[in-house]
Amino acid sequence: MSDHEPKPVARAAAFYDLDGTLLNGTVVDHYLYYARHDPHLPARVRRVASTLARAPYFVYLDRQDRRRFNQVFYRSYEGLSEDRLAMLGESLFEGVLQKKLYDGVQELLQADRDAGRVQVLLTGALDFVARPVARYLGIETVVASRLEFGRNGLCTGVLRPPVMAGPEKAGWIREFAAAHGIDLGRSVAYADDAADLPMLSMVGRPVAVNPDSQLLATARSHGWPVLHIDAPARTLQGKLARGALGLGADLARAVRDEAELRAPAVRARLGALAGRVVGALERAASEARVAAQDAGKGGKDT
Amino acid sequence: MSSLTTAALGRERCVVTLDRASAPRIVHYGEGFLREKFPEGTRVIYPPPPLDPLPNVKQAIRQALARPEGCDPLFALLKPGMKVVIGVDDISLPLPMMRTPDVRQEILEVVVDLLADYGVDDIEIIVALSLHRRMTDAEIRRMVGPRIWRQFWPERLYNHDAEDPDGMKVVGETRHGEKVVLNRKAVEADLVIYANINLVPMDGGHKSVGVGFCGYETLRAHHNPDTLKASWSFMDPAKSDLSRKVDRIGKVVAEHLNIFTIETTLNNKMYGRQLQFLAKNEDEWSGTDEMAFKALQWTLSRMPPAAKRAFLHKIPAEYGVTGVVAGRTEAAHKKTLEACYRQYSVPVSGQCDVLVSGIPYLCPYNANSIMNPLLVHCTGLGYFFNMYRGQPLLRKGGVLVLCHPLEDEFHPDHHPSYIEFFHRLLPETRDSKVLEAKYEEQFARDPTYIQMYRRGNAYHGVHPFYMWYWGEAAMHHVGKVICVGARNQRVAEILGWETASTIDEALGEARAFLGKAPEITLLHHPPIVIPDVS
Repeated sequence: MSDHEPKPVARAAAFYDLDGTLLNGTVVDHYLYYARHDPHLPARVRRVASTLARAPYFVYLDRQDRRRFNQVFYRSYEGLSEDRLAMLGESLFEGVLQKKLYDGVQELLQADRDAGRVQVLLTGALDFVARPVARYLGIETVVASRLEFGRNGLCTGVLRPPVMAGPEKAGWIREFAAAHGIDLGRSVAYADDAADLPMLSMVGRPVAVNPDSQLLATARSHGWPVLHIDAPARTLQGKLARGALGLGADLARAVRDEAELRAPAVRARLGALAGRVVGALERAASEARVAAQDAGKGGKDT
Repeated sequence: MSSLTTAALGRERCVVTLDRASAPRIVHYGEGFLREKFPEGTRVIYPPPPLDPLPNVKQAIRQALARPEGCDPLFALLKPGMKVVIGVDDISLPLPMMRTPDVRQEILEVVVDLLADYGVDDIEIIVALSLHRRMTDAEIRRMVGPRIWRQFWPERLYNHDAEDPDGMKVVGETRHGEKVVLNRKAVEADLVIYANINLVPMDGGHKSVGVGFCGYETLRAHHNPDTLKASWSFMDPAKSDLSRKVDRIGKVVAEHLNIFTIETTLNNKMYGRQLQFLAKNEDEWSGTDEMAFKALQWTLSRMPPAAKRAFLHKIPAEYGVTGVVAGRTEAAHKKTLEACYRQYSVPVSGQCDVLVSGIPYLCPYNANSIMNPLLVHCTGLGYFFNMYRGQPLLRKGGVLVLCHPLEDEFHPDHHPSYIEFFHRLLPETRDSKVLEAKYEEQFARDPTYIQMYRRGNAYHGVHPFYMWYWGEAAMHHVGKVICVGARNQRVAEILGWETASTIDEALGEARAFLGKAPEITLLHHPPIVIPDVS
């Protein structure tokens, strides 16, 4: 290349977090979907109830260390089969997540596309959850958490490295930029949570989307743009209330599903029981009649 | 007793020359005031006193609708079933916000009743904010009043959105190739009625629809360094390239849209009775004025910055409506301009070497917000420098002294792109042409800023460029800018300004720079004054 030839301009990229940034949801919501659709009823109730019981612990852990939270929380998937997770991933998106996408997301992504930015979905959510979302939104590159599966095809509950949270996201961005000639100074990253500060700090244009209080404070002090697109409650109380309500609803749904599933058997049992009760009553009445007749005969005799 | 070089009558009382015994002058200083002694011989230009307001505004509106300029009365333009869009100015007018009822409320109430009487019920009211921030619900409600609010909000009363992909429509092109793209609802309406507040002569006319309902594609035709550099001044449409281009676009708009304009002018009564002394010659202050000023200073000095800002922005102006003109845009605007100058113009003899001006807490782009450094630049070198007709008040190569605390403070929700512009671009270059060529389009198309404009309450991503360009003529004219009382030196450096602790020190620096005893003029505003410089 001669000195007069212009240097090729490095491309810019747009990195998106998923839950809370592009859609209104959490990894807990995704898991509960799987739990509710467990084919074995006792396992279904156990999974939902167990998640409900450990909710405060998960909230605490998430606030302490997102990476650790992911490792602990994803153990819940233990025992679920790989093909079922993949299959339900599609229906999770079509039935739930698509409706939870924020209003301005499509427009934002289109504008980034028009600006020539390479688009990357970078999320701690599981790959079979993130892929249908990315496909729908037209994002080609997806980097998500991956679970380990045993020889029997069942999930071990262990995350395969790297665990996509905090510093790992930043490290991945650095390597991706080096490998693909991305100018990080001209790139943009969108996230909703302070746990993603390392990811946001990697680019020239960090954007806090529907931020939690800690990220909001950081964004304010650094002059980062703050974008509000249909944000749900982001306070701890709000999260807890939303989580509790969600879990309560999930539990109620599980009970309802159970009732619906067992209704014929229950009806049959109730019918049998009622039959037995009616039979017993009839027998008792008949015996009483016989006894009364016997008593009447005896009186006349005396 | 000071010797005042004043005439007994008329506007000449507005020009005062100080002597040794003259009282110190009050100068706006952000969310406070400076009180400084000026050298003997300093010329002080005061705003003219408020004109008498109309006794019955609604009556005047009805008369204007019935006897419009250049077209049939409004009722004669109405047909049952027609589509009508009513455009209103946004929160940038007037400044400060006027006490309720806002004149827009009064216009809307009269017009909506008239439309109903003639069987027109397909009405939408759109806040014509161009690339300004969306007004909040509370701000719109205050502006239009409870009746219109209840009847139209939110489906038929909303903010213009210049970035709505389906909401804009191409109207045409000027013979100079300027694209005219406007709000689709306005373009497709059978009749567009525009309710304007003409605070200064650069408002109104073709600017109302041609700018208020446009987007970046159209705005860039005249909001650029070359146009703004060739405008002498913004307040004199005949000599303003900005006005010329806006009118050119306006003519294309008028060919395609059926527009009925309603323009209003206000008097200069910015302050209520309690603060009226701020517009008075300090040599004429009474003991009560003195005490009121001290009480105000004491109160402001003890308030936290945020509370002080909220307090000041909540004080409404006592503006009175001085005129209502309606009809075809150009014919109506001609009369409006006459009324504007009747209120603001003051004959001034000759230019000065040093122009001193205080920058207040408010400009058109920070209602209920922060006066950030770019807005200080825009107000000082854009608006205040351009407050003249004839020739600039400040001589070529002279020194502009501005008084403002100049903190590094921006409203993150209202002015997000300003932050990046100020801290990333300006340290690289202050050259408007370079900024325009290298970065303007990038900011204008930035997805984040577009989303913040559309869904939040942010000024458009490109807006800080306009704030910078606004000072273009002044930047090529002024020899030096000195900021008095700047608390953040780095901010002054980024703007390319020098600093001084006091006005006296600034005048000393100016003397050294000019190499002579300068002729000093203090522009004692706001309220608004437009010197006619001979």
